[in-house]
Amino acid sequence: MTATPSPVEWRVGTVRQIRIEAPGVRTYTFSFESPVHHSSGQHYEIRLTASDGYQAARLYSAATPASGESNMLQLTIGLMPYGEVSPYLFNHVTVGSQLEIRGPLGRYFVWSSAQLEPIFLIGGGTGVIPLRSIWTEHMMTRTWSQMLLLYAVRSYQDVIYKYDLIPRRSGMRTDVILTFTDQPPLAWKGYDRRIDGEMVMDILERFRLMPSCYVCGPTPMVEAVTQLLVQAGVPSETIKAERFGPTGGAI
Amino acid sequence: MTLINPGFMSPGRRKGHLPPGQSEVKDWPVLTYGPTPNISTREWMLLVDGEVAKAIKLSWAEFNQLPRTNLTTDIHCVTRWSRLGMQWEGVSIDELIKLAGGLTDDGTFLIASSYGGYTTNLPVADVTRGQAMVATHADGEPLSPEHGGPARLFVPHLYFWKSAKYVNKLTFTGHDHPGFWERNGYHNYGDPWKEERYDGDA
Repeated sequence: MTATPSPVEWRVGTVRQIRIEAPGVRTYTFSFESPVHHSSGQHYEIRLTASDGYQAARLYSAATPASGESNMLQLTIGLMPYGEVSPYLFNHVTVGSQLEIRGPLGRYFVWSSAQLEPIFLIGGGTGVIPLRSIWTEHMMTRTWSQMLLLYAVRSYQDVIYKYDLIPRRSGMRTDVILTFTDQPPLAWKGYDRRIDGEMVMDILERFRLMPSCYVCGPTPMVEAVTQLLVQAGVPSETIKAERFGPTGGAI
Repeated sequence: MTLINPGFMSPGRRKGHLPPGQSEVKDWPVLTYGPTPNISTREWMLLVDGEVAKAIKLSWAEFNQLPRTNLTTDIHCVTRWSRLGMQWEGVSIDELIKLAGGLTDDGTFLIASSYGGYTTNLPVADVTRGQAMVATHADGEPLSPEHGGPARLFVPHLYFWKSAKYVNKLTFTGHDHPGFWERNGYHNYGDPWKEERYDGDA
């Protein structure tokens, strides 16, 4: 096995698959010449170079765990229509395109299967991307500790990773809780509002022990939700927050 | 070496997609300095020589078996027209260099020559890394003779006289040799975004 390269070195990734998750959200699968290894929750940087040497780079969270057994990386990317990097990725990049990527970056907003305390994941919009990686690793490692995911999303068509988060059989996963903030599906019996104190208390009551919390989403959502958690009695040192902003990707 | 992302542009260049002094055309004007040669694909040959490990000569059939590449991009003619969002297909210069066993350390310029005697000169750095090809198709159609068919050089980030029609020889050299228009009053490099139109511009 080749040694894992330094995370700050630029490597060339070749696009192998592009999956449309929802309007304006796509998952790109890249292959590299060396193994891909990261902790769930970490992000990568994509850099674009123009023929005159101009460069622009943005951070994107890994969508799935990577244990170093394969050379594949999945990044889910939300389109920022007036952005610099994502419009290029959406309009010019096809299967076979090559991009410069480095990472994994950031060792703060991460989860490992060695963590045995219960976990409460709270995502808003594309903020669910790193949480899905954590949630998937939790499923794969069959860790016995409790993990619940609360995902606030505008409408059903905006839900990303439907195939994972919403089973095809009737009934929802009990460990994934959706709230539709704009347009709930017809006859929806679950939450249909922005995350509020009552919702946070309801879900906290389902934990047998006080959980550690991971909050990721647009800045106003993260600010509001972390305040609600503190008000509900969660110690602030057990709350990790990651803010997704209009400069694109994880900040 | 840094990878270049074809079609990615710095902000000044992205805005409106038209370089200074250019106007968009919807049709495709034809500009050739002499009569249009009619080249049969039966006799067509492409030679790659000079500062490469081994010179190669490809017939039309051999050339068409090589891996192909696509670029969707704009073209800019020094006579002030630009066509936006054209789709081009051909064989990348990287692929041809690979087939010739790679460049020697001295291979720093490309002199492209065409049927009929036309030549143009380019730095190697402008034709490698996915930036240029020997093109056979534009917008899904084989290149017609007036547009340089059966095959022309395609270097979209420079004024279009650099994209030599009827190309039949790519010679890599250690020194720059100004080509036909470059000796006849036009700029040696030809960046449309800097308006490097004529000898003496910027």
